[in-house]
Amino acid sequence: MHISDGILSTPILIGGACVAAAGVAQGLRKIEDNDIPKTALLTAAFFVASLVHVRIGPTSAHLILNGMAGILLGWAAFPALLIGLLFQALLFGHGGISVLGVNTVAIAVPAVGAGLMFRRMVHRETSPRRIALMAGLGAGLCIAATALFSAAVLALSGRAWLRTAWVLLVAHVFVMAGEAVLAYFIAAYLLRVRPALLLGRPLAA
Amino acid sequence: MIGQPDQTRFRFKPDPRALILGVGLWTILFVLMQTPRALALAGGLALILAKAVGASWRTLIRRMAALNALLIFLLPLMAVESFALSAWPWRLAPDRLILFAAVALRANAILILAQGLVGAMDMATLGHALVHLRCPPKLAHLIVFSARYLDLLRHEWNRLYRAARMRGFRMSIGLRTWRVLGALVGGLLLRSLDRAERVLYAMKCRGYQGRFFMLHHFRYTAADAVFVLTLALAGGIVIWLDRM
Repeated sequence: MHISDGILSTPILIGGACVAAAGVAQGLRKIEDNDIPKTALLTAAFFVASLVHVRIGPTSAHLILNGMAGILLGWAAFPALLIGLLFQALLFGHGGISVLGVNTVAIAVPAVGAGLMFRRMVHRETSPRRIALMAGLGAGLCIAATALFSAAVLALSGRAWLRTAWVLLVAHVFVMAGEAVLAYFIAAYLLRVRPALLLGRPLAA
Repeated sequence: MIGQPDQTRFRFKPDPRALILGVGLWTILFVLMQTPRALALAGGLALILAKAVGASWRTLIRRMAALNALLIFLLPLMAVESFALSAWPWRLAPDRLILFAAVALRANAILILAQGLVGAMDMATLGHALVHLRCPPKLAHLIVFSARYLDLLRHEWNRLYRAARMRGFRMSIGLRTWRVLGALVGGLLLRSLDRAERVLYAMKCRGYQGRFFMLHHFRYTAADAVFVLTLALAGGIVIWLDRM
């Protein structure tokens, strides 16, 4: 999910950049020195996964996985997703430099929210099925929030973009379903292979 | 390889910091400009600049093709007056068309600038330059570090994916596809975390204490000063043209 350069109005771009800077600063504060390799490798892994195109209904879309990033990285998802967007902009020309802030806010704020929510909800949960469902739910809500935010900033940038905002919202209904299902299966896999990664504790008490 | 520089010969090689500053400065200018006339001129200047620093036509055109395909899709969405059946044949609203021209020119100009000036830089140089530009060191480390492992993890993914394909996996719409994809992505995440652990231990063995030492220092030469000054001056002229 990335809005291109040149579309959004200046106040929105500035606002987005400020919020993104604050979020990244908070994320960086939460990263210990020993966590840097882990965060960096996960950043790269999520970026590589986002290059995967899947078929959703009649078209194809690439994975976003911001919900999963939030669940695994917590606050560190903020700088991680910023770097992902930076790579997208520099290596492929998707998204853009001036919209980096807004796009980061659009995908990282829901991601961090999903991560915090997930941690709270699975606090004492032992059923793998229910934990995986929560991950799926979190990822789905995450895409919904991302799409709503992106559509809102488009609509706020001028009446001309209202129609585009609607199209974006409708398209993301499919993306949301796909990401939710995928997050469910990723979580189910991780719970089977190494639950501590997802929960920070062993599965059974 | 992902994140490696283009194989182009550099004619004029400005200081990477000057390039980053230039891109930042001009991106702000592009955002502030409103008239298609000024934006077209600025876009042309950006193209000249990108070529001067050694960007290749092929990369530029490929990146621009993707952007402009998206823009063509957006044109009817934003510029048609009304999609009502009674309004057939659907007409483009003139004021929307001007706005669209500005948006298209601006998007292309920023893309050319970023691709031409910073896109051709390798990620290690970019990270170095960012540290020297007072970017938070942790963020710069994350950028350099993840750029370093991008290609490696992409190969890891290809390996996983190929193994799945050998066992008969095909992308389709069914639930089974998602199940396998979930395991594949999960596997990728797991492998990257294991690798991170090994990397951390290896770094600790070599005395890592939370910071990287920058061995490479850039020299800011008179040519760089002229470069930045020219950029600023050209920017001023274009903005003046925009406000006229």
